Amino acid sequence: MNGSATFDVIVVGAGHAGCEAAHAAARMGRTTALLSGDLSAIARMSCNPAIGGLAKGQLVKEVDALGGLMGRLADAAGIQFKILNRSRGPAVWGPRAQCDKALYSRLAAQALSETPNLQLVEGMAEELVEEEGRVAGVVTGNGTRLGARAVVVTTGTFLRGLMHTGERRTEGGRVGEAAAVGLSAALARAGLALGRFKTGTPPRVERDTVDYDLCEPQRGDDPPVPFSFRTVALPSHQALCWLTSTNERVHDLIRANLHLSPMYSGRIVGIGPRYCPSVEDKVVKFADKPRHSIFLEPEGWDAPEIYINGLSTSLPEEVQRAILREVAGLANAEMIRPGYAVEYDFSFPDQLRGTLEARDVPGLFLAGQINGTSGYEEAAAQGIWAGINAALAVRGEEPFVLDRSEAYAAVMVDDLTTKGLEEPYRLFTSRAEHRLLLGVDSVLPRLLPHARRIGLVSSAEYSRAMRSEERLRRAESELRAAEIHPDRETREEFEKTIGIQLAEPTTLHKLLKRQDLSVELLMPYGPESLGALCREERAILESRVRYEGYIRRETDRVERMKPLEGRRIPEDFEYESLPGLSREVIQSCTRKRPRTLGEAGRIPGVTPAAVAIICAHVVRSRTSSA
Amino acid sequence: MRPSAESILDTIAALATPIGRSAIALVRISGERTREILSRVARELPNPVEPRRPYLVGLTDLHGEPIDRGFVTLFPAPASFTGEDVAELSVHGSPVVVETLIRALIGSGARPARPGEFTERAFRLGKMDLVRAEAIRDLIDSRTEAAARASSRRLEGALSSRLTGARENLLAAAASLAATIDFSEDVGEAVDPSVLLHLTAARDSLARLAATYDRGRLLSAGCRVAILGRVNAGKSTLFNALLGTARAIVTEIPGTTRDTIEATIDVRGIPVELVDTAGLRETDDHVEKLGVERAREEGKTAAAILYVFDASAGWAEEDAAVLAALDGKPVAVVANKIDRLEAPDRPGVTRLEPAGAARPALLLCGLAPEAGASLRALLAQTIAADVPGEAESGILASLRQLDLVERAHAAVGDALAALASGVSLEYAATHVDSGLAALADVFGEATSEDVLQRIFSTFCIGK
Repeated sequence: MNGSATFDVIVVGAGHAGCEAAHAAARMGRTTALLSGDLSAIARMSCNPAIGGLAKGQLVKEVDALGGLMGRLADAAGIQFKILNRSRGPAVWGPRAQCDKALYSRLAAQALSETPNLQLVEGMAEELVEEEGRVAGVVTGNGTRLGARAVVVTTGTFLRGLMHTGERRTEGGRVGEAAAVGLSAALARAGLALGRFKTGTPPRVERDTVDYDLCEPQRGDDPPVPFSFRTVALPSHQALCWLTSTNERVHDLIRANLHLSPMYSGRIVGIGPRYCPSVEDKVVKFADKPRHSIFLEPEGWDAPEIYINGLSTSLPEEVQRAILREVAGLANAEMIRPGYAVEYDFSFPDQLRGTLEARDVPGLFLAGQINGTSGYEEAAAQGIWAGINAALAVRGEEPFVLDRSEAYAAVMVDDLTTKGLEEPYRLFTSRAEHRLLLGVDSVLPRLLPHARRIGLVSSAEYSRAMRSEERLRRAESELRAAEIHPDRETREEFEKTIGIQLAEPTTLHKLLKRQDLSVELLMPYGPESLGALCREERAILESRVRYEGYIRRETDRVERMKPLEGRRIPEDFEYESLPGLSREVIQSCTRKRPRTLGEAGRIPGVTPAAVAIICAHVVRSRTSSA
Repeated sequence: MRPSAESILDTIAALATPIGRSAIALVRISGERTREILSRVARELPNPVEPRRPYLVGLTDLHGEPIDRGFVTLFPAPASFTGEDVAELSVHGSPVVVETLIRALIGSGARPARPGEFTERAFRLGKMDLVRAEAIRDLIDSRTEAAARASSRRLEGALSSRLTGARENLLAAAASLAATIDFSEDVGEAVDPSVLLHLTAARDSLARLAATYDRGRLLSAGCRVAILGRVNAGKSTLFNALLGTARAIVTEIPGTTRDTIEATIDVRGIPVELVDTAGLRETDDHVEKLGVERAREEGKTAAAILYVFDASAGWAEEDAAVLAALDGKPVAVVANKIDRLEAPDRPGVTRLEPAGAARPALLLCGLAPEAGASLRALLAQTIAADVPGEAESGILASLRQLDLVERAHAAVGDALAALASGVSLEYAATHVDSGLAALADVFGEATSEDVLQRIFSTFCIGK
């Protein structure tokens, strides 16, 4: 062994989780090293060329509000912007950007190189250094030892990665990149239980060989809306995506070759996600559907590749070619790269605390796909969460853990660390029981105060970012104050221009509760503050006014559960000696060390009665020690 | 923690003494809304109430109708059984009184307590030492693990399949809504029409299920039936016919029955308290006057009425007036003494149709040997008319189940109303979730994973 550089925090892996972790830790003033096997592949989008989507878009906005990179990189590298679920309220809007993959990666590298306290190091981590029961650094493939007080491992699908295309198998986490084998063994030696998942990608085809006339164009929003509160302007021009579909001929081909698909031939043992099925799965499980949508997504402004979204497969290359020939628009398409499935090790995330630190290995944090999640956004959110907590831990400061009613990121981390996993984890809005409070419209007021406190957002940025929220609040209170008296003139006016009958005195706020009225219609009678609102802000205002009762009920529910949900369980709490707890409950709680009664109640097998017993003793031990 | 329709923050109410007939029944309330609820059902209580002092007061239902008089004692937190505000209400031990009282408490904001919930609260707030706590461990555990198993056994069979049917419909609706929100790119943003069908089906089956509670209660607690009618209509004759013995004195003298006479009979498995009353008429006789008043009182409190008139005298306006005053209560009308009708010209035949009654009168002669059987059949039909027969069993057995089913029913109604009025899906979906949470509490199971499971098995998700 040689070398002895020492850092506060080392981040292993420079994917979406690693970049956010390293960036956050460094910006919090910790000397940080970001270690990657290939420094030219920073923040690579190894799967689809899009950031965001339903629930994922909310995560990106949360990462952004915490001072993270993903939102502004997606804004800067975006080639098409769209808010999904726009027909619904902002609570479930899902902003998404198609991105230029190469540009995204380049901008990420640039942002990291400009981050003070951050050093980029090329090399694969092969060993974990442990000293006095703590992780104290890593050893790289060439024997260099890097010391650190906290190590964040974010190696994605690289742990013992194995790629399948038909019967061909290649070791590696991504095409052309080596798998991390040593680290997997090191984590196992550190006592972490590992499982095996799989995921897949579709083939890529050459951009100029697609017959776009046979496909339906998919446009972005006009005007586009950025993810980041820092982004001032987006490009006026946007790229197109295209829609085509599979057909019965494609399905026949798939059925005829099913035995060559590694998943169906039994060669893949890892479990895949139900929400991101291979095309083989779709055809087998939904045999009655005559077609499945295929989205053609450019991988950049000028990139030669088109990503065939919807055709994820591990069938042999020649079968993939045959399939493409049958798809409208792709008859003459030239396949640049076949789709493949990748199997990889993950670490069961219920071995982690709510900070993403390994429960039994102090100083070791895990974030991203290594925790069994899928998706860039899930990775980034865990990355910033782990980075912040690693930075706090090395100074012995209070951990940063949010409540499930505060952020989607908190829902995800809580799900991962308390419930455990059976398939790759993806966030859905329906995983959040307080979904109505976690919309994109409330991200900034929810999270900016935390970011400012931790030091990831400056006071100046904070004030600037809160301006939209202030506009909304002013407009809402002015609507409340705007009384309408139904004298004859006003009645006639409202009937003529808006088409409603005014019977009794009211306010604009009350009128806006009606489903048939909008800010736009009321604008002529409203306060000037309405005029200052952009299209999204108007929709947010309408939703807040219209669903005030629902939102209040939800807030009330959170408030009422807080005394129980948030009650802390001491770190050294003895479950073993409690009368009335089953063996199973004692074991799970001793192993998982829930931080609060709420967390305890979400551990599988922990019954409400068990929570009541723990609660009684927590109260008792607090009062007896006081 | 799993979202539950039953929060530990709720104020709970339940009978604390054994179920069944006893001299005194003790109903207990615990929780932060205890005082507020007391002020609604015990309106005579002074304000403020002096702690730990029993007050003898009248208890009323939500409409101010008297239920009973009883002792009410308030034990403010923390010096109470549970450590919360607690009230104890001692009333007469009649199942009907207890039932009506608890329903009034629920109507005022309490919810029925789960088995062991008072003890659990006491335990949670440190009101019991650990030795005692260990002793009640089984009780608490029974609420969840063991009770869930036991209740799932109980739920097996008819009730379970009816609940499961409603729950399946709700799950299907919830999954479809969730898919429309979370996977709009795959399944489209429009609400699938099947959602409305599922919700409507769930609403209807929950309503039918809630209606079975009356029969469930009827089977266990029975009901009170008053025999009413004008003087000398033959009420006591019918009373005796139903009993099968000459219990009441029967004479030709109008006004023979001056006080109420009670007896319990079995009507197809339902215990029926039968009450013979004084004939309704204006009278100057002091004793008879009291009897008539008491008869009218019985007419108000009984669950069903057997109304008798003299066929030979015909249906009179006075009869119609009594019927109208009964206001929707199940009434069976009997035209008695048909043996006295003149067969050839039958002048009174048209007058045998009781104007204002829901059903035609049963024509009989109370003295005939088959009168008892005919009357029993009539009674069975009347008190259990709106609830399913034994063949269609699967009935709600406890007030708590009823409360949860009614809450689920209301939530589904809210969901349908929200969807009909164009409320955005993510908000409308909260009602479906509440409905599922309430049903999950009946079953003692979680649901959120079920919804996801349902989505993935129903919809092809993922680009």
